[in-house]
Amino acid sequence: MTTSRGGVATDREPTARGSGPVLSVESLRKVYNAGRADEREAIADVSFEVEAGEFVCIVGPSGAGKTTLLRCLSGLLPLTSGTALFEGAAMQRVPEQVGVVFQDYSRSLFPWLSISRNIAVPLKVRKVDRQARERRVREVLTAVGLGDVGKRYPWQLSGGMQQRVAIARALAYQPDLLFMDEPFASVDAQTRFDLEDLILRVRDEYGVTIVLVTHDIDEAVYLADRVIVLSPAPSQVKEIVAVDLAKPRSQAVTRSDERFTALRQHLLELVTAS
Amino acid sequence: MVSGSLRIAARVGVFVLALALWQVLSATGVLSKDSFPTMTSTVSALGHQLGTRELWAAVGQTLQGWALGMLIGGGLAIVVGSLLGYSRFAYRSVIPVIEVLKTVPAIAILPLAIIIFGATMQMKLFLVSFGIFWPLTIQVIYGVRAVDPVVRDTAQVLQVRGLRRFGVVTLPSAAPFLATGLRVAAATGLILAVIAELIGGAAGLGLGVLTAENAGPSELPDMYALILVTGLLGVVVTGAFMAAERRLLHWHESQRNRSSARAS
Repeated sequence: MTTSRGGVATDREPTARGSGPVLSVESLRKVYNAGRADEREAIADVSFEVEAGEFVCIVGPSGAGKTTLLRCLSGLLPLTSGTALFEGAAMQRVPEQVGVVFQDYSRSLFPWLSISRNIAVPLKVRKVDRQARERRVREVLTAVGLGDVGKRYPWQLSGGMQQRVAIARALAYQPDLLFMDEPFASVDAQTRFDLEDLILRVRDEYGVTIVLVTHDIDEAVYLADRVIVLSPAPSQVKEIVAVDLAKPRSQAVTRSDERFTALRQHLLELVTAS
Repeated sequence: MVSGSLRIAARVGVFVLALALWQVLSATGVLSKDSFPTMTSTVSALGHQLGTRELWAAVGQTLQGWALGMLIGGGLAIVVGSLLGYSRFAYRSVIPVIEVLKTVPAIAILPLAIIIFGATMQMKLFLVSFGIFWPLTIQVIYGVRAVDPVVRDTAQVLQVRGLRRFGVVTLPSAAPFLATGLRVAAATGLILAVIAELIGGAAGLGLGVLTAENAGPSELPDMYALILVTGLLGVVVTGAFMAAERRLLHWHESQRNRSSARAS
Protein backbone atom coordinates (compact mmCIF):
# COMPACT_ATOMS: atom_id res chain seq x y z
CA MET A 1 0.00 0.00 0.00
CA THR A 2 2.52 2.61 -0.99
CA THR A 3 0.95 3.86 -4.15
CA SER A 4 -1.49 6.70 -4.01
CA ARG A 5 -3.56 7.32 -7.06
CA GLY A 6 -5.71 10.35 -7.69
CA GLY A 7 -4.02 12.19 -4.85
CA VAL A 8 -5.51 9.86 -2.27
CA ALA A 9 -3.07 8.81 0.39
CA THR A 10 -3.82 5.63 2.26
CA ASP A 11 -2.98 6.38 5.83
CA ARG A 12 -3.91 3.00 7.24
CA GLU A 13 -2.28 -0.30 6.52
CA PRO A 14 -4.95 -2.96 6.40
CA THR A 15 -2.81 -5.26 8.50
CA ALA A 16 -1.73 -2.61 10.98
CA ARG A 17 -4.56 -3.47 13.37
CA GLY A 18 -2.76 -6.65 14.15
CA SER A 19 -3.99 -10.19 13.81
CA GLY A 20 -7.52 -11.46 13.70
CA PRO A 21 -10.16 -11.34 11.01
CA VAL A 22 -12.03 -8.10 10.24
CA LEU A 23 -15.31 -9.96 10.23
CA SER A 24 -16.04 -13.19 12.00
CA VAL A 25 -19.40 -14.89 11.65
CA GLU A 26 -20.33 -17.89 13.76
CA SER A 27 -23.59 -19.89 13.44
CA LEU A 28 -25.56 -16.82 12.39
CA ARG A 29 -29.30 -17.47 12.32
CA LYS A 30 -32.06 -15.04 11.41
CA VAL A 31 -35.77 -15.68 11.85
CA TYR A 32 -38.33 -13.06 10.93
CA ASN A 33 -41.42 -12.67 13.13
CA ALA A 34 -40.11 -15.30 15.55
CA GLY A 35 -42.84 -16.96 17.58
CA ARG A 36 -45.64 -15.66 15.39
CA ALA A 37 -47.84 -17.40 12.86
CA ASP A 38 -45.94 -15.83 9.95
CA GLU A 39 -42.55 -16.89 11.31
CA ARG A 40 -40.00 -17.30 8.53
CA GLU A 41 -36.46 -18.57 8.83
CA ALA A 42 -34.30 -16.60 6.39
CA ILE A 43 -30.86 -17.77 7.50
CA ALA A 44 -30.35 -21.15 9.16
CA ASP A 45 -26.66 -21.37 9.92
CA VAL A 46 -23.92 -19.27 8.39
CA SER A 47 -20.28 -19.18 9.52
CA PHE A 48 -17.26 -17.65 7.81
CA GLU A 49 -14.44 -15.20 8.35
CA VAL A 50 -13.14 -12.29 6.32
CA GLU A 51 -9.48 -11.30 6.62
CA ALA A 52 -8.23 -7.75 6.38
CA GLY A 53 -7.87 -6.58 2.79
CA GLU A 54 -9.90 -9.44 1.39
CA PHE A 55 -12.58 -9.12 -1.27
CA VAL A 56 -15.35 -11.61 -0.53
CA CYS A 57 -18.43 -12.07 -2.68
CA ILE A 58 -21.60 -13.74 -1.45
CA VAL A 59 -23.71 -15.46 -4.10
CA GLY A 60 -26.79 -17.63 -4.00
CA PRO A 61 -30.08 -18.24 -5.77
CA SER A 62 -32.63 -15.43 -5.60
CA GLY A 63 -34.46 -15.44 -2.31
CA ALA A 64 -31.48 -17.03 -0.58
CA GLY A 65 -31.46 -14.34 2.09
CA LYS A 66 -28.38 -12.56 0.72
CA THR A 67 -29.62 -9.10 1.55
CA THR A 68 -30.83 -10.25 4.97
CA LEU A 69 -27.39 -11.67 5.66
CA LEU A 70 -25.71 -8.42 4.63
CA ARG A 71 -28.02 -6.42 6.86
CA CYS A 72 -27.24 -8.72 9.79
CA LEU A 73 -23.49 -8.49 9.12
CA SER A 74 -23.47 -4.71 8.91
CA GLY A 75 -25.40 -4.28 12.14
CA LEU A 76 -28.57 -2.98 10.49
CA LEU A 77 -30.57 -6.02 11.61
CA PRO A 78 -30.33 -7.89 14.91
CA LEU A 79 -29.42 -11.57 14.74
CA THR A 80 -31.75 -14.22 16.11
CA SER A 81 -28.80 -16.27 17.34
CA GLY A 82 -25.11 -16.77 16.68
CA THR A 83 -22.46 -14.08 16.55
CA ALA A 84 -21.11 -11.57 14.06
CA LEU A 85 -17.94 -9.87 15.29
CA PHE A 86 -16.49 -6.80 13.62
CA GLU A 87 -12.81 -6.40 14.54
CA GLY A 88 -13.46 -8.74 17.44
CA ALA A 89 -16.47 -6.93 18.90
CA ALA A 90 -20.16 -7.75 18.69
CA MET A 91 -22.32 -5.12 16.98
CA GLN A 92 -25.12 -3.30 18.75
CA ARG A 93 -25.62 -1.13 15.69
CA VAL A 94 -23.62 -0.26 12.58
CA PRO A 95 -20.01 0.29 13.71
CA GLU A 96 -18.35 3.59 12.80
CA GLN A 97 -15.70 1.92 10.68
CA VAL A 98 -18.21 0.11 8.48
CA GLY A 99 -19.57 1.40 5.18
CA VAL A 100 -22.53 0.12 3.20
CA VAL A 101 -23.33 0.76 -0.46
CA PHE A 102 -26.92 -0.09 -1.32
CA GLN A 103 -28.29 -1.30 -4.63
CA ASP A 104 -30.78 1.53 -4.84
CA TYR A 105 -28.45 4.50 -5.19
CA SER A 106 -31.28 6.82 -6.21
CA ARG A 107 -32.86 6.37 -2.80
CA SER A 108 -29.65 6.03 -0.78
CA LEU A 109 -28.28 9.39 -1.90
CA PHE A 110 -30.22 12.20 -0.26
CA PRO A 111 -31.94 14.02 -3.14
CA TRP A 112 -32.20 17.24 -1.11
CA LEU A 113 -28.42 17.53 -0.76
CA SER A 114 -25.92 18.35 -3.49
CA ILE A 115 -23.27 15.76 -4.33
CA SER A 116 -20.60 17.33 -2.13
CA ARG A 117 -23.01 17.78 0.76
CA ASN A 118 -24.06 14.14 0.44
CA ILE A 119 -20.43 13.05 0.69
CA ALA A 120 -19.81 15.48 3.55
CA VAL A 121 -22.56 14.01 5.76
CA PRO A 122 -20.45 11.25 7.37
CA LEU A 123 -17.56 13.71 7.69
CA LYS A 124 -19.68 16.23 9.55
CA VAL A 125 -20.85 13.49 11.89
CA ARG A 126 -17.18 12.77 12.60
CA LYS A 127 -16.52 16.46 13.23
CA VAL A 128 -14.04 16.85 10.36
CA ASP A 129 -13.45 20.59 9.92
CA ARG A 130 -14.67 22.41 6.83
CA GLN A 131 -11.37 22.67 4.98
CA ALA A 132 -10.52 19.03 5.52
CA ARG A 133 -14.05 18.11 4.50
CA GLU A 134 -13.82 19.97 1.22
CA ARG A 135 -10.44 18.42 0.51
CA ARG A 136 -11.70 14.92 1.29
CA VAL A 137 -14.79 15.38 -0.90
CA ARG A 138 -12.59 16.37 -3.83
CA GLU A 139 -10.27 13.43 -3.20
CA VAL A 140 -12.95 10.77 -3.15
CA LEU A 141 -14.76 12.24 -6.16
CA THR A 142 -11.48 12.01 -8.06
CA ALA A 143 -10.94 8.48 -6.74
CA VAL A 144 -14.26 7.31 -8.20
CA GLY A 145 -13.55 9.04 -11.51
CA LEU A 146 -15.94 11.93 -11.12
CA GLY A 147 -14.71 15.42 -11.71
CA ASP A 148 -16.44 18.64 -10.90
CA VAL A 149 -19.95 17.45 -10.02
CA GLY A 150 -20.00 18.55 -6.38
CA LYS A 151 -22.54 21.32 -6.87
CA ARG A 152 -24.98 19.16 -8.79
CA TYR A 153 -27.76 17.04 -7.33
CA PRO A 154 -27.83 13.21 -7.39
CA TRP A 155 -30.88 13.01 -9.64
CA GLN A 156 -29.14 15.15 -12.25
CA LEU A 157 -26.55 12.40 -12.80
CA SER A 158 -26.79 9.09 -14.65
CA GLY A 159 -27.29 5.86 -12.67
CA GLY A 160 -23.66 4.85 -12.97
CA MET A 161 -22.48 8.27 -11.80
CA GLN A 162 -24.89 8.18 -8.86
CA GLN A 163 -23.50 4.83 -7.73
CA ARG A 164 -19.99 6.29 -8.02
CA VAL A 165 -21.11 9.08 -5.69
CA ALA A 166 -22.53 6.52 -3.25
CA ILE A 167 -19.17 4.70 -3.31
CA ALA A 168 -17.34 8.00 -2.82
CA ARG A 169 -19.52 8.81 0.19
CA ALA A 170 -18.78 5.39 1.70
CA LEU A 171 -15.05 5.87 1.13
CA ALA A 172 -14.98 9.42 2.48
CA TYR A 173 -14.69 8.32 6.10
CA GLN A 174 -12.26 5.53 5.22
CA PRO A 175 -14.11 2.53 6.65
CA ASP A 176 -12.20 -0.66 7.39
CA LEU A 177 -14.97 -2.80 5.98
CA LEU A 178 -17.27 -1.97 3.09
CA PHE A 179 -20.47 -3.93 2.47
CA MET A 180 -22.03 -3.72 -0.97
CA ASP A 181 -25.52 -5.02 -1.67
CA GLU A 182 -25.95 -5.78 -5.39
CA PRO A 183 -24.27 -2.45 -6.07
CA PHE A 184 -24.17 -2.78 -9.85
CA ALA A 185 -27.49 -4.53 -10.46
CA SER A 186 -29.31 -1.39 -11.60
CA VAL A 187 -26.89 -0.12 -14.24
CA ASP A 188 -26.28 -1.13 -17.85
CA ALA A 189 -23.66 -3.73 -18.81
CA GLN A 190 -20.90 -1.36 -19.92
CA THR A 191 -21.27 0.82 -16.82
CA ARG A 192 -21.24 -2.34 -14.78
CA PHE A 193 -17.83 -3.36 -16.12
CA ASP A 194 -16.51 0.14 -15.46
CA LEU A 195 -17.80 0.11 -11.89
CA GLU A 196 -16.37 -3.37 -11.25
CA ASP A 197 -12.92 -2.15 -12.31
CA LEU A 198 -13.43 1.00 -10.28
CA ILE A 199 -14.15 -0.90 -7.09
CA LEU A 200 -11.11 -3.15 -7.59
CA ARG A 201 -8.90 -0.10 -8.05
CA VAL A 202 -10.41 1.68 -5.06
CA ARG A 203 -9.95 -1.41 -2.94
CA ASP A 204 -6.22 -1.31 -3.69
CA GLU A 205 -5.97 2.43 -3.10
CA TYR A 206 -7.83 2.49 0.18
CA GLY A 207 -6.91 -0.95 1.46
CA VAL A 208 -10.51 -1.49 2.40
CA THR A 209 -11.93 -4.95 3.04
CA ILE A 210 -15.02 -5.60 0.90
CA VAL A 211 -17.95 -7.97 1.27
CA LEU A 212 -20.16 -7.79 -1.81
CA VAL A 213 -23.47 -9.53 -2.35
CA THR A 214 -24.43 -10.31 -5.95
CA HIS A 215 -26.61 -12.69 -7.92
CA ASP A 216 -24.22 -12.39 -10.85
CA ILE A 217 -21.75 -15.27 -10.75
CA ASP A 218 -19.45 -13.77 -13.40
CA GLU A 219 -19.20 -10.63 -11.32
CA ALA A 220 -18.40 -12.61 -8.19
CA VAL A 221 -15.60 -14.53 -9.91
CA TYR A 222 -14.19 -11.40 -11.50
CA LEU A 223 -14.09 -9.41 -8.27
CA ALA A 224 -13.54 -11.83 -5.42
CA ASP A 225 -10.65 -13.41 -3.61
CA ARG A 226 -13.16 -15.88 -2.21
CA VAL A 227 -16.78 -16.59 -3.08
CA ILE A 228 -19.24 -17.74 -0.43
CA VAL A 229 -22.07 -19.76 -1.95
CA LEU A 230 -25.34 -19.77 -0.06
CA SER A 231 -28.05 -22.42 -0.31
CA PRO A 232 -31.68 -21.47 -0.94
CA ALA A 233 -33.47 -20.08 2.14
CA PRO A 234 -33.15 -20.85 4.98
CA SER A 235 -29.54 -20.18 4.00
CA GLN A 236 -26.51 -22.18 4.87
CA VAL A 237 -23.01 -21.90 3.47
CA LYS A 238 -22.86 -24.41 0.67
CA GLU A 239 -19.23 -23.92 -0.19
CA ILE A 240 -16.51 -21.31 0.01
CA VAL A 241 -14.62 -21.10 -3.27
CA ALA A 242 -11.16 -19.53 -3.44
CA VAL A 243 -10.66 -17.54 -6.65
CA ASP A 244 -7.05 -18.04 -7.70
CA LEU A 245 -7.11 -15.70 -10.68
CA ALA A 246 -4.14 -13.42 -11.34
CA LYS A 247 -4.25 -9.79 -10.18
CA PRO A 248 -4.68 -7.08 -11.27
CA ARG A 249 -7.68 -8.29 -13.17
CA SER A 250 -8.97 -6.87 -16.41
CA GLN A 251 -12.29 -7.46 -18.07
CA ALA A 252 -10.85 -8.63 -21.40
CA VAL A 253 -8.05 -10.85 -20.07
CA THR A 254 -9.54 -12.26 -16.87
CA ARG A 255 -12.90 -13.16 -18.34
CA SER A 256 -11.29 -15.10 -21.20
CA ASP A 257 -9.05 -17.04 -18.81
CA GLU A 258 -9.75 -20.79 -18.79
CA ARG A 259 -9.63 -20.78 -15.02
CA PHE A 260 -12.33 -18.09 -14.98
CA THR A 261 -14.59 -20.30 -17.07
CA ALA A 262 -13.95 -23.29 -14.84
CA LEU A 263 -14.68 -21.36 -11.64
CA ARG A 264 -17.76 -19.87 -13.21
CA GLN A 265 -18.97 -23.32 -14.22
CA HIS A 266 -18.37 -24.72 -10.75
CA LEU A 267 -20.24 -21.84 -9.05
CA LEU A 268 -23.09 -22.04 -11.50
CA GLU A 269 -23.57 -25.72 -10.66
CA LEU A 270 -23.50 -24.94 -6.94
CA VAL A 271 -26.05 -22.13 -7.23
CA THR A 272 -28.47 -23.86 -9.58
CA ALA A 273 -28.37 -27.31 -7.96
CA SER A 274 -31.21 -27.58 -5.49
CA MET B 1 -46.38 23.35 -25.82
CA VAL B 2 -48.36 26.59 -25.48
CA SER B 3 -45.98 29.51 -25.35
CA GLY B 4 -45.72 31.55 -22.18
CA SER B 5 -47.03 34.81 -23.61
CA LEU B 6 -50.10 33.13 -25.08
CA ARG B 7 -50.82 31.48 -21.74
CA ILE B 8 -50.65 34.80 -19.92
CA ALA B 9 -52.79 36.45 -22.64
CA ALA B 10 -55.43 33.73 -22.21
CA ARG B 11 -55.51 34.24 -18.45
CA VAL B 12 -55.84 38.00 -18.75
CA GLY B 13 -58.49 37.52 -21.45
CA VAL B 14 -60.67 35.32 -19.25
CA PHE B 15 -60.25 37.76 -16.37
CA VAL B 16 -61.32 40.72 -18.50
CA LEU B 17 -64.23 38.71 -19.90
CA ALA B 18 -65.48 37.89 -16.40
CA LEU B 19 -65.34 41.58 -15.44
CA ALA B 20 -67.17 42.54 -18.63
CA LEU B 21 -69.87 39.94 -17.96
CA TRP B 22 -70.31 41.32 -14.46
CA GLN B 23 -70.70 44.84 -15.86
CA VAL B 24 -73.23 43.75 -18.51
CA LEU B 25 -75.33 41.70 -16.07
CA SER B 26 -75.45 44.41 -13.40
CA ALA B 27 -75.91 47.38 -15.76
CA THR B 28 -78.77 45.72 -17.68
CA GLY B 29 -80.52 44.83 -14.44
CA VAL B 30 -80.30 41.03 -14.82
CA LEU B 31 -78.64 41.13 -11.40
CA SER B 32 -80.72 43.07 -8.90
CA LYS B 33 -79.34 46.55 -8.25
CA ASP B 34 -80.18 46.17 -4.54
CA SER B 35 -77.66 43.40 -4.06
CA PHE B 36 -75.18 43.77 -6.92
CA PRO B 37 -73.32 46.96 -7.69
CA THR B 38 -71.86 47.42 -11.18
CA MET B 39 -68.32 46.34 -11.85
CA THR B 40 -67.23 49.89 -12.62
CA SER B 41 -68.63 51.33 -9.40
CA THR B 42 -67.01 48.53 -7.39
CA VAL B 43 -63.66 49.03 -9.07
CA SER B 44 -63.82 52.76 -8.52
CA ALA B 45 -64.73 52.13 -4.86
CA LEU B 46 -61.76 49.80 -4.66
CA GLY B 47 -59.54 52.42 -6.25
CA HIS B 48 -60.71 54.96 -3.72
CA GLN B 49 -60.21 52.57 -0.80
CA LEU B 50 -56.70 51.67 -1.88
CA GLY B 51 -55.80 55.28 -1.14
CA THR B 52 -57.24 55.23 2.38
CA ARG B 53 -55.43 54.37 5.57
CA GLU B 54 -58.44 52.37 6.88
CA LEU B 55 -58.16 49.73 4.20
CA TRP B 56 -54.47 49.11 4.76
CA ALA B 57 -55.00 49.03 8.52
CA ALA B 58 -57.70 46.39 8.01
CA VAL B 59 -55.43 44.40 5.68
CA GLY B 60 -52.71 44.66 8.31
CA GLN B 61 -55.00 43.42 11.08
CA THR B 62 -56.23 40.50 9.02
CA LEU B 63 -52.71 39.52 7.95
CA GLN B 64 -51.38 39.89 11.47
CA GLY B 65 -54.01 37.54 12.87
CA TRP B 66 -53.39 35.15 10.05
CA ALA B 67 -49.57 35.19 10.33
CA LEU B 68 -49.44 34.83 14.10
CA GLY B 69 -52.09 32.12 13.98
CA MET B 70 -50.06 30.27 11.35
CA LEU B 71 -46.95 30.63 13.48
CA ILE B 72 -48.62 29.32 16.65
CA GLY B 73 -50.74 26.60 15.04
CA GLY B 74 -48.03 25.62 12.56
CA GLY B 75 -45.24 25.59 15.15
CA LEU B 76 -47.27 23.45 17.53
CA ALA B 77 -48.29 21.11 14.71
CA ILE B 78 -44.68 20.57 13.65
CA VAL B 79 -43.54 19.83 17.22
CA VAL B 80 -46.51 17.64 18.17
CA GLY B 81 -46.62 15.93 14.76
CA SER B 82 -42.89 15.12 14.86
CA LEU B 83 -43.12 13.65 18.35
CA LEU B 84 -46.15 11.57 17.42
CA GLY B 85 -44.55 10.53 14.14
CA TYR B 86 -41.44 9.28 15.89
CA SER B 87 -43.25 7.06 18.37
CA ARG B 88 -45.47 4.36 16.98
CA PHE B 89 -47.05 3.85 20.39
CA ALA B 90 -47.86 7.53 20.88
CA TYR B 91 -49.18 7.71 17.33
CA ARG B 92 -51.50 4.74 17.83
CA SER B 93 -52.74 6.13 21.14
CA VAL B 94 -53.40 9.66 20.02
CA ILE B 95 -54.55 9.32 16.41
CA PRO B 96 -58.24 8.54 17.17
CA VAL B 97 -58.58 11.76 19.17
CA ILE B 98 -56.91 13.78 16.42
CA GLU B 99 -59.10 12.22 13.73
CA VAL B 100 -62.19 13.28 15.69
CA LEU B 101 -60.95 16.78 16.45
CA LYS B 102 -59.89 17.23 12.84
CA THR B 103 -63.46 16.76 11.67
CA VAL B 104 -64.81 19.42 14.03
CA PRO B 105 -65.17 22.49 11.80
CA ALA B 106 -63.20 25.37 13.26
CA ILE B 107 -66.27 27.58 12.82
CA ALA B 108 -68.09 25.41 15.35
CA ILE B 109 -65.48 26.54 17.88
CA LEU B 110 -66.15 30.21 17.12
CA PRO B 111 -68.91 30.73 19.72
CA LEU B 112 -66.65 29.23 22.36
CA ALA B 113 -63.76 31.44 21.29
CA ILE B 114 -65.99 34.52 21.42
CA ILE B 115 -67.19 33.63 24.93
CA ILE B 116 -63.65 33.16 26.16
CA PHE B 117 -61.81 35.95 24.34
CA GLY B 118 -64.50 38.33 23.10
CA ALA B 119 -64.13 40.19 19.79
CA THR B 120 -60.36 40.39 20.09
CA MET B 121 -57.16 39.57 18.27
CA GLN B 122 -56.69 36.65 20.68
CA MET B 123 -59.99 35.20 19.53
CA LYS B 124 -58.84 35.46 15.92
CA LEU B 125 -55.50 33.86 16.76
CA PHE B 126 -57.20 31.04 18.61
CA LEU B 127 -59.55 30.31 15.73
CA VAL B 128 -56.79 30.35 13.10
CA SER B 129 -54.38 28.28 15.21
CA PHE B 130 -57.05 25.75 16.13
CA GLY B 131 -58.30 25.45 12.57
CA ILE B 132 -54.93 24.74 11.00
CA PHE B 133 -53.40 22.76 13.86
CA TRP B 134 -55.23 19.46 13.40
CA PRO B 135 -54.96 18.90 9.66
CA LEU B 136 -51.35 20.11 9.70
CA THR B 137 -50.45 17.82 12.60
CA ILE B 138 -51.74 14.84 10.67
CA GLN B 139 -49.76 15.94 7.64
CA VAL B 140 -46.59 16.26 9.75
CA ILE B 141 -47.13 12.80 11.28
CA TYR B 142 -47.46 11.24 7.84
CA GLY B 143 -44.42 13.15 6.64
CA VAL B 144 -42.22 12.08 9.55
CA ARG B 145 -43.33 8.48 9.11
CA ALA B 146 -42.72 8.59 5.37
CA VAL B 147 -38.92 8.37 5.60
CA ASP B 148 -37.83 5.94 2.90
CA PRO B 149 -36.44 2.68 4.40
CA VAL B 150 -33.28 2.97 2.30
CA VAL B 151 -32.80 6.53 3.56
CA ARG B 152 -33.32 5.27 7.13
CA ASP B 153 -30.69 2.54 6.63
CA THR B 154 -28.31 5.02 5.04
CA ALA B 155 -28.69 7.43 7.96
CA GLN B 156 -27.91 4.58 10.34
CA VAL B 157 -24.82 3.53 8.37
CA LEU B 158 -23.55 7.12 8.23
CA GLN B 159 -24.12 7.47 12.00
CA VAL B 160 -26.58 10.33 11.49
CA ARG B 161 -28.46 10.45 14.80
CA GLY B 162 -30.47 12.66 17.14
CA LEU B 163 -31.06 16.28 16.20
CA ARG B 164 -28.81 16.01 13.15
CA ARG B 165 -30.96 13.16 11.91
CA PHE B 166 -34.04 15.34 12.30
CA GLY B 167 -32.45 18.13 10.29
CA VAL B 168 -30.64 16.10 7.64
CA VAL B 169 -33.09 13.24 7.11
CA THR B 170 -36.49 13.55 8.80
CA LEU B 171 -37.39 17.14 7.99
CA PRO B 172 -36.41 16.99 4.29
CA SER B 173 -38.26 13.65 3.95
CA ALA B 174 -41.35 15.20 5.51
CA ALA B 175 -40.99 18.47 3.60
CA PRO B 176 -43.28 17.60 0.66
CA PHE B 177 -46.08 16.69 3.10
CA LEU B 178 -45.33 19.74 5.18
CA ALA B 179 -45.38 22.06 2.16
CA THR B 180 -48.77 20.82 0.97
CA GLY B 181 -50.12 21.04 4.52
CA LEU B 182 -48.83 24.58 4.98
CA ARG B 183 -50.15 25.77 1.63
CA VAL B 184 -53.63 24.45 2.45
CA ALA B 185 -53.35 25.77 6.01
CA ALA B 186 -52.42 29.24 4.72
CA ALA B 187 -55.62 29.44 2.68
CA THR B 188 -57.74 27.98 5.49
CA GLY B 189 -56.12 30.29 8.01
CA LEU B 190 -56.97 33.34 5.96
CA ILE B 191 -60.59 32.26 5.63
CA LEU B 192 -60.77 31.69 9.39
CA ALA B 193 -59.21 35.09 10.10
CA VAL B 194 -61.86 36.79 7.95
CA ILE B 195 -64.61 34.74 9.60
CA ALA B 196 -63.35 35.73 13.05
CA GLU B 197 -63.78 39.34 11.92
CA LEU B 198 -66.99 38.96 9.96
CA ILE B 199 -68.86 36.90 12.53
CA GLY B 200 -66.76 37.32 15.63
CA GLY B 201 -66.34 41.07 15.21
CA ALA B 202 -62.57 41.29 15.54
CA ALA B 203 -60.97 44.21 13.71
CA GLY B 204 -59.88 43.57 10.11
CA LEU B 205 -61.18 43.17 6.55
CA GLY B 206 -64.07 40.95 7.64
CA LEU B 207 -65.34 43.57 10.03
CA GLY B 208 -65.06 46.13 7.22
CA VAL B 209 -67.31 43.99 5.04
CA LEU B 210 -69.82 43.70 7.89
CA THR B 211 -69.78 47.45 8.55
CA ALA B 212 -70.24 48.27 4.87
CA GLU B 213 -73.13 45.82 4.64
CA ASN B 214 -74.86 47.38 7.65
CA ALA B 215 -74.42 50.86 6.18
CA GLY B 216 -77.04 50.11 3.50
CA PRO B 217 -77.22 49.97 -0.31
CA SER B 218 -75.11 53.07 -0.87
CA GLU B 219 -72.11 51.28 0.60
CA LEU B 220 -72.64 48.22 -1.56
CA PRO B 221 -69.71 48.94 -3.92
CA ASP B 222 -67.46 49.38 -0.86
CA MET B 223 -68.54 46.06 0.53
CA TYR B 224 -67.81 44.34 -2.77
CA ALA B 225 -64.49 46.10 -3.02
CA LEU B 226 -63.53 44.71 0.38
CA ILE B 227 -64.63 41.23 -0.65
CA LEU B 228 -62.40 41.57 -3.71
CA VAL B 229 -59.50 42.56 -1.46
CA THR B 230 -59.93 39.43 0.68
CA GLY B 231 -59.97 37.36 -2.50
CA LEU B 232 -56.81 39.02 -3.78
CA LEU B 233 -55.17 38.47 -0.41
CA GLY B 234 -55.94 34.76 -0.71
CA VAL B 235 -54.37 34.66 -4.18
CA VAL B 236 -51.26 36.47 -2.94
CA VAL B 237 -50.87 34.21 0.11
CA THR B 238 -51.35 30.99 -1.84
CA GLY B 239 -49.01 32.24 -4.56
CA ALA B 240 -46.34 33.10 -2.01
CA PHE B 241 -46.54 29.64 -0.47
CA MET B 242 -46.36 27.96 -3.86
CA ALA B 243 -43.32 30.03 -4.79
CA ALA B 244 -41.62 29.16 -1.50
CA GLU B 245 -42.45 25.49 -2.07
CA ARG B 246 -40.89 25.60 -5.53
CA ARG B 247 -37.74 27.10 -4.11
CA LEU B 248 -37.34 24.89 -1.07
CA LEU B 249 -38.42 21.66 -2.74
CA HIS B 250 -36.51 22.21 -5.97
CA TRP B 251 -34.95 18.77 -5.42
CA HIS B 252 -38.27 16.95 -5.20
CA GLU B 253 -39.70 14.96 -8.15
CA SER B 254 -42.73 17.22 -8.32
CA GLN B 255 -40.57 20.31 -8.87
CA ARG B 256 -37.46 18.99 -10.63
CA ASN B 257 -38.23 19.67 -14.26
CA ARG B 258 -40.30 22.77 -13.79
CA SER B 259 -37.65 25.28 -14.74
CA SER B 260 -36.61 23.37 -17.84
CA ALA B 261 -40.25 22.75 -18.85
CA ARG B 262 -40.91 26.46 -18.49
CA ALA B 263 -38.05 27.31 -20.77
CA SER B 264 -39.25 25.08 -23.61
